[in-house]
Amino acid sequence: MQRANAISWSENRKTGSVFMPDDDAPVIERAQQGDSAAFDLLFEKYQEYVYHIAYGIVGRTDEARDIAQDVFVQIYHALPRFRRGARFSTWLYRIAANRATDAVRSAERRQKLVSVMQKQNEDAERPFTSQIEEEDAVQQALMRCPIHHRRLLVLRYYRELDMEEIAAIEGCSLVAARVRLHRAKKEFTKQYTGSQTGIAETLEGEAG
Amino acid sequence: MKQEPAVSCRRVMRLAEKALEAQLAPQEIRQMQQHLHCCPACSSAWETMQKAETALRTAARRLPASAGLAEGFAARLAASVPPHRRAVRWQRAAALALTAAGLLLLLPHAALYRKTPAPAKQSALAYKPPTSAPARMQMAYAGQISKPAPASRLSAAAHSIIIRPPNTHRKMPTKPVQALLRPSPARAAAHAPAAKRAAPHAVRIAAALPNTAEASFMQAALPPAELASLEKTVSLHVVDPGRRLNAQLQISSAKGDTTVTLNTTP
Repeated sequence: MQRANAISWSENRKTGSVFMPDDDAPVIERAQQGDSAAFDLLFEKYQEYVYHIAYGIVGRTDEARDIAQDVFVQIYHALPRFRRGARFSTWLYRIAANRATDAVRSAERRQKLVSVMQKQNEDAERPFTSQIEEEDAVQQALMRCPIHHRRLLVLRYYRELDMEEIAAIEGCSLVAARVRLHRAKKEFTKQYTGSQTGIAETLEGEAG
Repeated sequence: MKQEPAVSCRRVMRLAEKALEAQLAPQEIRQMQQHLHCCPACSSAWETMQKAETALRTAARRLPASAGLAEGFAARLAASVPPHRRAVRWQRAAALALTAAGLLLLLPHAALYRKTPAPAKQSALAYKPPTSAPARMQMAYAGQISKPAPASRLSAAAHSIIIRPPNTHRKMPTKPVQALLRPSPARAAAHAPAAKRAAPHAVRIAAALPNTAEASFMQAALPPAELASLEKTVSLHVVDPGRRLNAQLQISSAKGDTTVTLNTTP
């Protein structure tokens, strides 16, 4: 997967999104010129958001903390190449979601490998799903959802992003983002309530 | 009051989705209410949807705080490698594969070096190579000079040099710390005919480069005649796309001790 390394931002052609004004532009410009105070401002503003995205996807606070720090390290190095006119938050959230996704997939791969080798140590190598620290039914249900659904739900509910920004982060069209979110909500409802909801496939036909 | 036209279950579920975003028009609300009132299946589905939606929104308000995120960030940033120095994954994978291939080339001749201790398990500075004949060709690096390797043996054949970091993962030293100098697999010095000994051979070096988490593969042509002089600096061609690195291999001899030095500069 190259997702985590996809640090160069490009505008999404499918969404046809126009230039989105970025309130952070002056601060980013200063940070790009090496102003550490400006970078601190960005860190302060976005640390919680990045952390919540990571937590929602990996389901563990310690892992989320590491991921969030890694994201800011990556941002720090990549900031000089950040293209003016792009939206910083979208770029940042995309990196955060991709980093967290990669972490989950690596953990899953490790888990599979351990299973194959029949050396399962239940205490040391449990998957993220069973390591959620608090008895949070919502997070538990979220962790049972496939990772691509989890990303959308986290961006939509934990970060409360609008559909345009979610589409930009996911690199898909607005309609596709809506359809995917619809499916994700359906899956979450199923996992959370333990039953099929009967939600009609109302948006499925719009995917194009 | 005017009676609203009946709506399908499908239409109601679509309205339900919309309602969760609070975007329903008054007419749509009436349509939905009428349908839910007389359709238990849709009514149940609507309740479930509301339950899940509420749960997600409530959970979003109870997310753990990101306290302490700034702690240790400066250290992590200082320890990080800028992206331009970080090879992308396929490059690293290719470098690893090449290194592995280089190591595999040596495996058939492992029997020649049974007394060679495993390099990865040794501390670089504490490394003292054994004095048996084949093993004498090993040389510790990073300031440690091993037992002398006879010039005749060095000049007799091409050699493969493996430079490995100590047994630490993702924590590379500033210099490669250990070198093994071995006869190349196909041309072991003791067994090569005299005529072939004079032919130039390539020196292959598989090295874990400083400040990188992965290994790279380098090679350089080094004729035995030059090895015989025991004081030669060669430039290494780095087979690692995307990374520029200059390396110099220096073999020097003083009072019978032989030192192999690999200097790398990004």
